Amino acid sequence: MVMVIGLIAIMMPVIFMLSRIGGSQTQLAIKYHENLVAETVAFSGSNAGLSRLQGNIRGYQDLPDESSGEEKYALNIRPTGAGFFGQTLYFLLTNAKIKSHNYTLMAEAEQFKPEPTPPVLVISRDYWNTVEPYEISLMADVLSMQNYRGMELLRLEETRTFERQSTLDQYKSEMQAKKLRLPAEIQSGWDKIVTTLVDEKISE
Amino acid sequence: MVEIMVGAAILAIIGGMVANWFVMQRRYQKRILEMSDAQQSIRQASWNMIQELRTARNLIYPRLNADKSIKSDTMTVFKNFSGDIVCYYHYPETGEIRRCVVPNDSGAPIIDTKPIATRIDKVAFTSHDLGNRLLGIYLESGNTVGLESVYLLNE
Repeated sequence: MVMVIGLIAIMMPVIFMLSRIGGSQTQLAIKYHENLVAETVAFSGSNAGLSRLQGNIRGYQDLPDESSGEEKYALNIRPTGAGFFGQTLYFLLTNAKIKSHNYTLMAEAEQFKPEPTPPVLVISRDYWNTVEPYEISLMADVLSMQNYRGMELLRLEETRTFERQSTLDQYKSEMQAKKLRLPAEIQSGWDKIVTTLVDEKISE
Repeated sequence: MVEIMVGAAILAIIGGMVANWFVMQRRYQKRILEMSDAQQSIRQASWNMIQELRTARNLIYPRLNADKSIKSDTMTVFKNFSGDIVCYYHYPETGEIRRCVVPNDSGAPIIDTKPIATRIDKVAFTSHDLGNRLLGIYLESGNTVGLESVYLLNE
């Protein structure tokens, strides 16, 4: 009897420890799953924001507690001025938070006047994302995000300027020259990729 | 004598049951660990890639075939938010997915020193068109598979 109790006393912590190891590994897998869900929820929140603008809802909108399925998202639509055609310009911000994981989408949107009735034309562009825990209803946080996004937009301007200012042959030879410095896995298909890049090169 | 034999028999039976239970638990834990490792690898790979793909601008490769059928490959190439060319490609020998950035101007390609995913046995990036903005990602690790799709938000 004493032996049986002794065996069980040894076995139980061993079994418990093994199950804890399996549990923690599974928790890591769940963590990445939650990250992906947070992104998807933020994406659906962004679409909801576009729908509001298409429905001719105008001006500053702060909706901190919206639902997408079982998960919550925050939506902040911030007017930034007027465009050349009289359209209203906005920053469209969406944030989803699942446990400790944050995901924020920031985009620009243009809302045109209804002619004659909604839905109105809405153009959205330059979506940018971050996993930093920004508060989208705070102007200081929005400015900080704008700065980071602005740096990447400056790089976009550089790459587009390069495409515009190069001739087809110059652009093709520049891209072809990079082939030898690429990993072997990419080298084999690089010619086809260059053909697509050249075909879709931005022109003046 | 009889009491000792009966006692020994009972002890042997109990010992056998406990040992069997221990072996079963070990096998079960091993299987669970393998599966959760594989799931973690797949989720991590998906998350790392989708983060960048979501705000990318244009899918360069793969594209639909000439007959409009879908095309899959073990690498994908796209223009990221900043307009630079990013490649994700699979090393089957090491089970890694690696990332390489090709500047869309006069700079030299930069290969990331760390892989963005490990323990990935098979990868298939599949183009689904929609203006070259919808990409399917199939990942296989051990006996576990993952399938995600991502829509590129920017133009």
